[in-house]
Amino acid sequence: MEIKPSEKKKDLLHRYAYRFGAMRVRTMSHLGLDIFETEREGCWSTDIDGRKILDALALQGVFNLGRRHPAIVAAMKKGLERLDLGNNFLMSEEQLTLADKLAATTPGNINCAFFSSTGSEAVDLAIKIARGYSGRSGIISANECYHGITGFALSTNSNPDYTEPFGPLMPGFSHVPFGDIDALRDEMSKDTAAVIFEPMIAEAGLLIPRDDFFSKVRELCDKNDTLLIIDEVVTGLGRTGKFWAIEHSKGVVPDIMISAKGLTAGMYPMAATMFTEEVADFFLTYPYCHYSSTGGSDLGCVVASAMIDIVNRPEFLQSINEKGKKLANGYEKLLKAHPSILESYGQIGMHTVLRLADPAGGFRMNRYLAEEGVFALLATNNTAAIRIQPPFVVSEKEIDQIIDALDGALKKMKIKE
Amino acid sequence: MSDIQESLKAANDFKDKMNENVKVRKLLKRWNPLIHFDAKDSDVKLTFKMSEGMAVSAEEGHVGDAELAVTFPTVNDLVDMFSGKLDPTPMYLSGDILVKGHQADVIKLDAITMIIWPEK
Repeated sequence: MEIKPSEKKKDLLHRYAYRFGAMRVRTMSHLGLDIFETEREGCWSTDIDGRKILDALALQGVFNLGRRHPAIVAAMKKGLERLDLGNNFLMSEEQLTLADKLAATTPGNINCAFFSSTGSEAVDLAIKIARGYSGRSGIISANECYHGITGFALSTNSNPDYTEPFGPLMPGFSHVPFGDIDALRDEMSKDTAAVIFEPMIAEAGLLIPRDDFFSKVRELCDKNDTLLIIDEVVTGLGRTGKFWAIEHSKGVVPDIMISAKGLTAGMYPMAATMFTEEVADFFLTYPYCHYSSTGGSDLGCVVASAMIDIVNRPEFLQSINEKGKKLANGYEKLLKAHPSILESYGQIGMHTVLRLADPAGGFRMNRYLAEEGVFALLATNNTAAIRIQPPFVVSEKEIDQIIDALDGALKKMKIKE
Repeated sequence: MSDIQESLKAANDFKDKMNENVKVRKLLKRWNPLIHFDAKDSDVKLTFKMSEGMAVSAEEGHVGDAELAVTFPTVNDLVDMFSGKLDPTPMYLSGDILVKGHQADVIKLDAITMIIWPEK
């Protein structure tokens, strides 16, 4: 189905291109994603031209609970009656409540936290803490990683699309192939402050390491007095069927964990850097070395607490696993129907990726899915992969709609062969 | 005019337009690729060399090790891109243009056409 914009939308696109970048608008238009959202509810949003779009991405976890989840809206409205950002020079009971709730979910003695506004800031802080605590400067990340766009976070990235115009990046950063314990061992030195990994990397087509990978990483870090930072911005908060994805690696306790995106269910910008009591000692000597005027606002804390109350229940996490299995059943059928187009899929909980035979096929799939009324996105570090990560509140019927749309898009891929 | 003559003329006109354009030179001053172009329906092969925002040469054949190789469906498409009549990004996104090398470089080619022919 050819998507023709109305005159009103054309005008908006023209003005948007002027204000925010013509190439961005051009690319999004070609991907069928030149959408101005108006209404949004659950897994659906409506374009200004009236077209309804089914969300199969949840903005990489921001909308884990769908759009405007009633309990989250209610918590925010209630909070607005008495709260604002809060005065971050002072103490906050709302921050304390959220930190308590998070500490009840995290492994080991990750009992301390600092709140900021975005995942990138939270990663920056994690690296600052690692360097400050260890007195070392080396940071090792995965070649295929994405940890953010700000100073330290950007320097963990090896994708030139993000880094090329901004060099030189911070010194002391190096990369290893994700899941390669020997490469990590070789890269580690007496100056390695921290290793930062996501538990699995959807941006690269959902790379899931061997079961014992993180226990070996933990061992290596312990041996070398190096901190282990786990970035759960995308994988955490239930996405993989456990509250934190690192829980799939039994017994592994990171030194620092990071959460953002879905932390406030798409209603407020908020991120958390969480760390062990030992690492928290760093702040005894530098209590004011890091600050955020708007991070960890009282209002955001109330919203994040409401999100945890919804997701951190066994039956809710079970429902994520069941919906993930339903998606996987659909993918199995698609694999049989389109063997030359669809190569494989990855699935853990509702963290799923389809891998196409065409190395750049993700772009076309994106366009065809948009034509079928479904919003998904190719993986940034693997243009053969399409990420399918619907909101947890997706219904069985909506999962069927996503599978039908994928089938329709794959048929179009076949025609183009 | 033969395919190769027409393609070479379009590529050289494109090169001249790029080099006349201050904005292109400024925005692409750190982009120094050797680019190979060809078309599926023809033997036409071109090599385009960029250096510090300037198009240094557009010549016949595939010379050197290219950082970026772009294959168009037809030689007409190739000529049309160099003439500002075709945006390479949509053709890439739709799978019509094949690219070897850094995918984001196709967007840079598109950006050049957008700057040279802003009225498009």
